[in-house]
Amino acid sequence: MLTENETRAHEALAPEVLGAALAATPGADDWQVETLRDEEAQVYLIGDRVEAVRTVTNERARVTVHNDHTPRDSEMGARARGMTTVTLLASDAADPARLAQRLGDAVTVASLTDNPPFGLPEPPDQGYPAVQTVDPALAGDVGAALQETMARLRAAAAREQNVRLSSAELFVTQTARTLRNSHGVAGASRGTRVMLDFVLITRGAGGREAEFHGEFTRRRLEDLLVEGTVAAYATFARHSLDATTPPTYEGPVVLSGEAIAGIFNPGLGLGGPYAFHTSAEAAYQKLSRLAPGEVITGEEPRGDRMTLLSDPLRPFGVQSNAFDGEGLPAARLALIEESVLARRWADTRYATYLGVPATGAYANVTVLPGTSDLAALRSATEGPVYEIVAFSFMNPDPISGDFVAEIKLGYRHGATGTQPIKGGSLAGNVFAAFADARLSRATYSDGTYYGPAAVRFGSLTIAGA
Amino acid sequence: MLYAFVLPASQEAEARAILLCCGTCAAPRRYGAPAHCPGVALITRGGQDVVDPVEQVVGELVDELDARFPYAAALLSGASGIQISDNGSEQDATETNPSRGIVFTVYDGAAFQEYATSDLDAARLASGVRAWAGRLSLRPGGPPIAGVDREAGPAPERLTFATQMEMDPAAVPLSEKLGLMRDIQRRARALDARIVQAQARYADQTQHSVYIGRGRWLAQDVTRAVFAIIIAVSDGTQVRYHYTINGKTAGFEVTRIGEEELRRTADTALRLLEAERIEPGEYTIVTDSSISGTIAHESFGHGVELDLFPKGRALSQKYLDRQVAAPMIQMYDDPSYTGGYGSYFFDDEGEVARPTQILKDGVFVLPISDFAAATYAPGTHTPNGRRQDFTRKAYARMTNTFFGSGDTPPEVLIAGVARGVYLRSAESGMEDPMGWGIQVTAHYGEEIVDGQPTGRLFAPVGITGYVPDVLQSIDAVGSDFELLGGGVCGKGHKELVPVSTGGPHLRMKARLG
Repeated sequence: MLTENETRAHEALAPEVLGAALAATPGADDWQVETLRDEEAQVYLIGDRVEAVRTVTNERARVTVHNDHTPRDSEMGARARGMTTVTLLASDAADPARLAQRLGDAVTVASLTDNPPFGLPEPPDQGYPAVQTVDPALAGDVGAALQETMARLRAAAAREQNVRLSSAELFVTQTARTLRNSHGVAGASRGTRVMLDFVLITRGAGGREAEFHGEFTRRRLEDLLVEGTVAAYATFARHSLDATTPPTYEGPVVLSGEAIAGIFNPGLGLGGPYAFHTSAEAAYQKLSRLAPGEVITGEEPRGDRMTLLSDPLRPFGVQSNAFDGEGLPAARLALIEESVLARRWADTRYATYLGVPATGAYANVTVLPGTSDLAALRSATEGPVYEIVAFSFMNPDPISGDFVAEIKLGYRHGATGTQPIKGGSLAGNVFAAFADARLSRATYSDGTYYGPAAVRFGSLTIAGA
Repeated sequence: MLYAFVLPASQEAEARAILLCCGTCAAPRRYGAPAHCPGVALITRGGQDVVDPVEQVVGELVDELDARFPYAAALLSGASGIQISDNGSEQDATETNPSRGIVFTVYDGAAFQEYATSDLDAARLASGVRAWAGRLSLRPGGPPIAGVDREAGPAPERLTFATQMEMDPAAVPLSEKLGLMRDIQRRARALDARIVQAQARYADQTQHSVYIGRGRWLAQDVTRAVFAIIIAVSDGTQVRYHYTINGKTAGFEVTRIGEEELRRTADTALRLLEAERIEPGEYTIVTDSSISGTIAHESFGHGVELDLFPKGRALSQKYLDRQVAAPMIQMYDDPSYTGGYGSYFFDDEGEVARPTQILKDGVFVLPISDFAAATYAPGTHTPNGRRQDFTRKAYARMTNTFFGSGDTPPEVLIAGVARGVYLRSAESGMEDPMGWGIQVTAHYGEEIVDGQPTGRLFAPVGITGYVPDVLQSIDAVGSDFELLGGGVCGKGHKELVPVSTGGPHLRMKARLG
């Protein structure tokens, strides 16, 4: 329940108030207002002890102003469009004179940049789709839900032999968002988000210790799968204790779980090579290595073909939303079909530049699963196979697609059984690797990625001992 | 430009400590850095600080909290600035992330409690903080606050610090900034027909922050500016790129780039069209300053963050006062380094910036800490408590992290390699504070044979290894020094803060792949 004071703050940033102010701003030829209000509860543990408790309220409006003018450069044509975005707090918007000055300054900035003209989205004919983005479990007492989740985490860790909970962080965020533009777009949405970060430490013979660190973002508390995740990571921690550095190797490598998800969703807000090369922006800037109708792998795939979708409609997906950042309605979009670039995702700007439909922003990535059993992918009948379950940091180059990443934990499957490995690095290229790949039937999700739980690549290189 | 020094007598000693760090000058001798340190601006002034109207109220609220709890403080923070880019066909200019807000902190005897909000209206703030504090009470049973140094005496005077700049970005018209980016972009684009895109980027951001607590009232305007030119080339079958980046606590002067540097950036991008993947294995390597700095950052930077110690996550805890690197290795973290991209005058918990020597002659001598971690280990408080922004907690974080220089010219380091790789342009790295693994990715490396670079390039190149093995394999330290900024550091994969890394060229052994 908002207090009277908080209600007043919210009103100062009301989209209709800001829209009216923008309509009265000379030179604001088009505009967009996006308001965001985040209410967040955070708790931090050191072992069993609560180290810190935080409550956070962050409310702001992002105002984008477009200005049409004669370009400074004659190569641009007769008209150019400039744009800029400013962020307003309630204290900015509450003072009409200050608000007018901020908006006027924004118009001045926009008037100084020259870009080929483009428009803004129109209101969708069918309205916005219903997308599930709110955890019902967080509709009530957020503090109680947070405490309960932490209690489950502690209990799950306590059940693990030779493992202790080193630290944990849990954030629960409730977000309210509105979006309007000068073409009549008007949308509102709510969402929840949970972030769990924990470290498990295991102790072995001679006092040796090893840790395993997990970081998970989801829309719903239940999708954290606390007990199962703790059990899996406790196993990873114990295996890390006994892991050895693999030898240098070139051959079949299986990526599973978060390791395969990281190829498509590197984290840190980085879209990664697949998001980049399937974009209209990359094509417009002549940086895309992919062309519609051509295979993405550079050569005809010898194994399974890969189909990749951008999916903002997935229930409780971290990137799910009824509309994107400029008000385009959410739609599932097959970008790569059977290893061939089918179409590009495009915002209104680059859709205009390329003359293709505006699709909305890149969202959750879905890779259609294959038909192989996990056991078949791990089969070592023709020699050892290495499986990697976690990298220290998978950060493929967005332009070349090349990657080299330290092995945080993996396994060697061979005739004598399975042994854990860690250290050394795996190198390859995220496009070329799919020229010889087999995809599992089992699936995995990290909240943004949903797809095969494992992929066996015909030949990748490990730099080891 | 220079500001006048106006110091209240009670805090003169503390302020003088900063001046000694950055004056004329201990730093070059300590680090082997070029003698470029002109001193630091320390001033009191009025002006357009976005948080001024509420400071008085914040001070009163902190006093109220301080009377009830063992520790109370507040940090107001905000930022202003612009980021622009030009790739020849498009121009963008937009505000840098302002992230304005305030966070109040108390220690209630058992845990730290924080209230953070973006609402800077004084009346609503007071009402919100009092309502929050009303729900708190003293809870004995937690670790006692220890080693909290508090200013004694009457109410503090406000001290204001500001970055010294040759060209204040606020005084440079936006049209001039855009014009320069377009000019640089065009000059770069014209260098070779195989260039498919040249993108010039510039960003400046002045972070305003005010700390009130522990008898201190400190305000600072830290201005960071970053310039980058990214050149993408194609041979018709592939696209490669290279970049030059210059990020500092400085002003618009960071955009200075000569024709030779533009040409070198383009030439490297073109040479990368022929780059190969390196044959995996152990190599003798020579690292440029960016790679040396990233190794420092990921090894005994993250590995010695004191907040990891109470969690039992840092193996380094067992190695205090023990040899962990070759004896000629010195390593520092220094938020007071003039011009360093990670520099500031005080941290987000009111601790005045000063250097920390982490490794001395290869021995681990001191971790870096935030306030909370230091309360559990008296005598270890260093000025490294940093927040991503007001919405996040403070942790022990790095600032400008680097190896000290040695006495071997870089060309002599290379000449001493029979067969190896000269690694350039760090792209990223990852820490492993308990396992002491290390991952650093170089944009490229160049083969060395018989002491000479051959021109054969490998890209990208990953460096992995066991931290003590890597650091103890260092057999020569360059006489050069460079600090490279413009990047950010995360705690795991979140909590991003601006940092720089650097040092001299180093020669060592490492596993490449």
